[in-house]
Amino acid sequence: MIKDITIGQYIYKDSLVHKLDPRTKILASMFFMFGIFLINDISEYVFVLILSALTIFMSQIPIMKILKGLKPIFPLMFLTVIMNMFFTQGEVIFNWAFITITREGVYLAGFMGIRIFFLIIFTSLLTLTTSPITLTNGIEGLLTPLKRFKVPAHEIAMMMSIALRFIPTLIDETDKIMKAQKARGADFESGNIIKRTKSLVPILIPLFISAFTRADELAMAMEARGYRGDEGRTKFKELKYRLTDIIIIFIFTLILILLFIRKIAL
Amino acid sequence: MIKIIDLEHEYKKDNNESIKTLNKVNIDINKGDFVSIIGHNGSGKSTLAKHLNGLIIPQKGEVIIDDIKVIDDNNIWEIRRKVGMVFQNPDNQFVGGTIEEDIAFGLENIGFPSKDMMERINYAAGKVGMGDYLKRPPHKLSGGQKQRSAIGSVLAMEPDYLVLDEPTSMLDPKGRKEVIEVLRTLNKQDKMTILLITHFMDEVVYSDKVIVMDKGNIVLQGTPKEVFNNKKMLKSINLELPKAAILQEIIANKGINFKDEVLTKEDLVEELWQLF
Repeated sequence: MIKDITIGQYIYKDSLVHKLDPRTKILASMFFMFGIFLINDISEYVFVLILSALTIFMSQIPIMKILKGLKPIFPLMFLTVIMNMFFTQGEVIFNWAFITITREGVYLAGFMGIRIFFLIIFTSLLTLTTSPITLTNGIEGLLTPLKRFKVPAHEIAMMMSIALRFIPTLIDETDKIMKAQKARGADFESGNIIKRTKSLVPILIPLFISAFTRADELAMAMEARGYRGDEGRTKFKELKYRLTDIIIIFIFTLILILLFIRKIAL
Repeated sequence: MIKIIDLEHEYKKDNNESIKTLNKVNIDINKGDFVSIIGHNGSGKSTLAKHLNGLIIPQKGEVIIDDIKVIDDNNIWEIRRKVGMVFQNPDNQFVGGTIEEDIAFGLENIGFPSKDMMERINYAAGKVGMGDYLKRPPHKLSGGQKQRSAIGSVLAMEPDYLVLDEPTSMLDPKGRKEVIEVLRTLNKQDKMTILLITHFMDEVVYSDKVIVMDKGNIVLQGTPKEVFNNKKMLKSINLELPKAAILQEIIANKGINFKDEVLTKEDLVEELWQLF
């Protein structure tokens, strides 16, 4: 049952967005994130809405899949809205006992909610259109210039890809250990939260031990196949910026700059 | 050619007691040979295997691969390109997220040109019959398939020697058969030198040379027939005969004698039809 879990939520489609270089997508998402906190009037929100809708349309990802990604973030969104609504100073429009709501608070809460909404939609589009391994490649690509400042770009990417590779293996193993412990009479379902948490110990300890054995064997297998860090290493899938990538980065940089200018000018 | 001369290895246990895992081991392996090493757990066969590509540096004695001596960390990368290694656990040697990425991993390590990689991956996967599964992740493969792609990953790096450390011990009978068939084809068609370490008797019957190890010593060495003629010796170290040979013994006890020693299913069939 838990074996079929997919990592991330990557959906394969043959679309323009899917074909973009992962670095372009990461950069564009980052610019979008910065941009979203610079906007503050209705016309700019409309613009962001159009931009998001256009990107989603081009990615061919069904809209429902994207909205589903919002679900886990909903409590956070709700909390932000509430906090902004109650704790912003300004013109009081509602007052009861210790609760005061200000006009500014309502505006801010509304804007914050919308911002988070767009933020999640856009970033989940990144993981929906990019496979985990490509994403790792992209992160390595973006971090490479930082090697000069001793950022271990290759090692970070290697660790991430190995972690991704072993998630299904370890889930499989957890499943086996759980069954083995159940067969010995372990009970994972009853009792209060503390008791149930405690009952996880007999799963975690064997899981950790086997993970360390795996790590040891994997390290040896990697060495036997000539792995010695990124020294003299070539890449199977070389990242290449294409014309569309350059155009996209240009557009997003331009949008960010324009938003910044508007923010200062207002 | 691989030459192992007077190789010794010992390690200290927690209580400072030292244990000898290899004791004056001498082995010659010629190019193109299919050599099997057989022995029980703790016989030192895995330690021996790790010496062959510099995962363990000899404490005493010598390991020479094509005139290169395994001495220190300086030449182990050259040796690791010459001697490819496949391990026991199919999961713990799968580095990439898919078969093609896993094969590419070794190629990336040796600085193989990116533009030629796909061609080499297709070639290596084809050799082990995994050409149609390049995009599969490891958890969607059977044990035999994983082990075959591990062999493919090593082959892609074009080693001169292939060392397999109990590659079949975690597989089901079907997977075991697949792996052995791949190895036999590689040895016959591509003249690949193979050193197979195993504890399954039925896997060694096809090799040119069998080396039997027990407690760090080589106790028997020779062709499969020579080795299995020493039934007493094998029994004294608790090694079983191949299934065909066991059957021959049972039949012999009933008073029916074969003309020749049988080791494989094919030999057995050949002898049996002549009885009628």
